[in-house]
Amino acid sequence: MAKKGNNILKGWGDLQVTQLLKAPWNYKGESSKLSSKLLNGLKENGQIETMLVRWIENTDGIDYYEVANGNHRLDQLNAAGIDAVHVFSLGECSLNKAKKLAILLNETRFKPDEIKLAETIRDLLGEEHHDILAQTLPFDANEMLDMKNMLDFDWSQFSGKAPKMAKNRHQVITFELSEEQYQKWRTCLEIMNTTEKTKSETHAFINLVESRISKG
Amino acid sequence: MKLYFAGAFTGYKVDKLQSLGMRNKLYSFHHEKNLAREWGKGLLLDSGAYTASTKGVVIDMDELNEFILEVKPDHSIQLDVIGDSKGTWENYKKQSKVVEVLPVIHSNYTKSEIARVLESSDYICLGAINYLPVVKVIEWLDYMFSFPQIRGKKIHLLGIMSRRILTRYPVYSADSSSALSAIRYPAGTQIGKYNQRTKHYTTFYEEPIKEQLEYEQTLTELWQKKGITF
Repeated sequence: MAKKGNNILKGWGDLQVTQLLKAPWNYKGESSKLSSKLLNGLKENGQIETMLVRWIENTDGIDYYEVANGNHRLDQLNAAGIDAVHVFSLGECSLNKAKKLAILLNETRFKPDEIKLAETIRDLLGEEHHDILAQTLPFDANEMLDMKNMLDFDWSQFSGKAPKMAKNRHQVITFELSEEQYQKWRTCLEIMNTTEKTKSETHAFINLVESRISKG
Repeated sequence: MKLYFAGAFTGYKVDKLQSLGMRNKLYSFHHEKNLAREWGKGLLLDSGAYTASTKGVVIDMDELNEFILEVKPDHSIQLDVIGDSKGTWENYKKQSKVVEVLPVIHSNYTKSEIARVLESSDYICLGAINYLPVVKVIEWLDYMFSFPQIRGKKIHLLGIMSRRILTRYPVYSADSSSALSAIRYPAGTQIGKYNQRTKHYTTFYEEPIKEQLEYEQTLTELWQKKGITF
């Protein structure tokens, strides 16, 4: 039976990873690619971002805390074999307050300025190889090289070789019609031009054309 | 870089669209005459030849020229003949005797035909490429931008708004109805689909318009960084 502990952490502090529980209500999706980058980052830099937790229960004298923000990191902390983490604990806190704070922390990130981001990546590529950066940053090597190249321009990059292009984008069917048949065809076109062309109406139109031409 | 909004934002009047910051608008002579008359500054007039051809309608050049003289758009695109470079060039020569129009180069032009058009005007449209796979578009645009005559010219891309393309080529302007596509096909998100079912379509106009204006600003700044000022 869970009971309230005497020493519930509130505010900044350190906890053992074994005291942390994943939030079953965490709404963020999974990505093996991002998880792998997160693990590499933890191995390279250790824990550099605080986790947000709330007290859940005391079992056998141990206080357990649910992770409100940092559930993916918890998986990778375990994978990286890290024992202790720095947290901000909400102490005893309602579920809805924890949910509200999780949304606040995750969904109030500003969109990057694409040009400044590209310039930053270019600076990093000046010192580190793209394959090394790709291990931890959320881009693959080609994306980073594209960002860098996006900032440069050189007319000589364009090849003077003419590509093979289709001569005409249209398929053309030629057939002869009597004047009467042609007028029926024009009537059909008029119907199409004055009709809202939803899918079913287009089918109806095609059927109409076929029936009129075959009967004509 | 100028990004022209194409397509009909049905349900919104011209003054409403302009109040949202929309400055550059492409309208078609073929089916948007009344809206084109109302727009004023920032209008790029397209003949609508392609749409007309799919409906078996022939655009009358004299009527188009009269309309251009009446409405005085910032720029007008020549009456082209789909799939016919010679016919398109003849139209350009004939039309430019009466009104100022932008000539069009299609992806099936020969080298000499391309050179001839590039030497004929300072503002040129590249078209009939928006139906191609992006790799093919890049191949052809790489080829186009290898012509020495293209440097210093203003280039308009017809029906293309792709980030990959507009960050690669120093085009002066482009148009697309992609802002409307975002409304018709709401990116596959559940909330997008829900909104599409439950709300009036005009309530979705504002966000894609804002996004395209921001995109236009970003591209302009990017090309300044690359040393190209439009």
